[in-house]
Amino acid sequence: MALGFSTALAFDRLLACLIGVVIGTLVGVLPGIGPAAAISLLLPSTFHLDPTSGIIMLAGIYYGAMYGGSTTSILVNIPGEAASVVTCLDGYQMARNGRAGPALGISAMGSFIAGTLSVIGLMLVAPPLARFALSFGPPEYFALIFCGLAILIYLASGSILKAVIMALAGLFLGMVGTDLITGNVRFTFGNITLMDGIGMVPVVMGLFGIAEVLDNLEKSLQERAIFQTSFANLLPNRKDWGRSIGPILRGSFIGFFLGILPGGGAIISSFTSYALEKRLSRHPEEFGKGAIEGVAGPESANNAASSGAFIPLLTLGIPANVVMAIVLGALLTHGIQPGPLLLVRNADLFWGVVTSMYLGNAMLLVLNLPLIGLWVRLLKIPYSILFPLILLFCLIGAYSVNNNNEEVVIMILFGVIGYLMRKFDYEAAPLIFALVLSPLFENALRQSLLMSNGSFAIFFTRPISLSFMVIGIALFLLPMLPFVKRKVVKDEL
Amino acid sequence: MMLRKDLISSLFWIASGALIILGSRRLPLGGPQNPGPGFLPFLVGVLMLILSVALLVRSVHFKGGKRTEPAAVSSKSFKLIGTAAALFLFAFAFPHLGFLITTIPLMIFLSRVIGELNWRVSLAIGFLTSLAMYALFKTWLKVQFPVGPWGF
Repeated sequence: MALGFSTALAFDRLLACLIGVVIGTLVGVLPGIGPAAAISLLLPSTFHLDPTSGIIMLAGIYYGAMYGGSTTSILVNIPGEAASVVTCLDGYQMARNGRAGPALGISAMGSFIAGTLSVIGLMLVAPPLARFALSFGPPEYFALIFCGLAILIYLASGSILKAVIMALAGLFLGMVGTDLITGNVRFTFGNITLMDGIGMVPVVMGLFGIAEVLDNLEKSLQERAIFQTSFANLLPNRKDWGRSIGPILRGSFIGFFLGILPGGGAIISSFTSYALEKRLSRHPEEFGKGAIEGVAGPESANNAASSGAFIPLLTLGIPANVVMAIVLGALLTHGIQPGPLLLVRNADLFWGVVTSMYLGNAMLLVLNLPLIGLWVRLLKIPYSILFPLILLFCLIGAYSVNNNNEEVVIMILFGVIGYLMRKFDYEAAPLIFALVLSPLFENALRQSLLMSNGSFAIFFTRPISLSFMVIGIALFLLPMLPFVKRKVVKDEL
Repeated sequence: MMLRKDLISSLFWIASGALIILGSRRLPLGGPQNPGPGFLPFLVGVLMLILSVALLVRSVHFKGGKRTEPAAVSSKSFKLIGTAAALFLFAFAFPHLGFLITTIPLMIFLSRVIGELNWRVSLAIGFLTSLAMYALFKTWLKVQFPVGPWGF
């Protein structure tokens, strides 16, 4: 921990954290860029920093964007990103009742408290989990990735069949290039760029950055009606606090534990927290009409979840959601293998990132309360000015990773593919997840089969691997049972 | 519940699955005892083929529910195709003509033609953003941009 503070407090680390948090809030507020798009846009710039600063900055962008997203939910009823959809319900109503200030205030305070609690949770949970994971061999890793993919596919909002196809496409794309075990070149059509494999950066920038712009160009972005309210009174009063403290603490707890599980933790935890608060409330009829509990709970939950999501990445090397998959790609680009050994080999990185998350939450609190007026003005920037900038940023970013023009072409191609995927109702998350984990998955499979002399039973005879396999297979079979109706997050509203 | 969409996309995946299987057959496949570089690609191709046939069957034997068709070609399709074409053109011209010669026209095109801003704003965006990005990336972050025939 002391190591963490000494690492995180170095001037350039603080600067990286500050820049990350500010940019994150900025893109969270701006229309048409979600956290995944924001991180993929800025990914190449972090390659010019040292690994620790780079990851600190990416983490800052992530929770900054989460926070910025709630600002737009409250003020204009447009969630900046999916995890703050629920915040719209009561946050916007509070703003309409002239209580935009306390709504923004409680969401900042709630996020801060939840962020702090979950960083403490991270410090307690991560080291034992990493020690446990040290006993993992190839079969356990294979089963773990299989289980992670199964959870992500189970949670996909559309057809499971299509989500599985996306995951297969991702696995395949991850195998393009030179086979690391035998040196055979696979599926490159003689292209030199492809021999190194399809880079994660051009793919995510294409699928999230470019595709999102193309998709938005087709919709006419609605005019944003912003309330003309004063933000003089930002601080929640004593009564607000009394009503909010319970939801904040429960939200932190829910968010942290759901965040650890693979697959959209922030979104699910904010919905769960809202549902729980509504059930526990003595006046449930106020929900949807501006109940402060409906802002405090979900906002705390989604912030706690974004810290919790770092646990499987930093201890097991398995990302819990798309954003973490992108961070995993960034770590690999820096030559760092996330996993149980990270805590030993890169202790300064681990504790530096953890403490920077704590400092970043404090920065958000200090920054955002006075800057709300500025964010409101940014909301008014028309999309026709923004989208050329987003595109230019993608072009330069994709180029600058390896100074390779062919990666720019790959990115634009994936932009078009991503656009078509949206039109044909395919989700990008299983593809990215599978693409990033494909090399690890293939190696684990091949090594396990070598260990077992060709028997697939190895995945079912070792207890840890067996449990992961059973959970994974159950998730594939569950939706086929007629009496289990899959809950789709989007339909819960 | 989407007949046409799934029909079209399943045909694409069937073709992809078949191509992956064909491609992996050219690599040393190995068996479960000694999985080679073609082993997992082969499995992935087979699974993809099976699942996309399932998707095809499901989309043909579709009954009830609402049928949503892919959006028809609209005036906005021009914006999409124009943007994608401009990006590809940029990507091919960039290494030969250098950063500024390609970026300024791209930004002006995007803001004027696609974004429908007026000329004055479009020119301002074109020049200011390109120069700012040039300064930021080339001078500050020291990214090596290709140099055009005029030395910038």
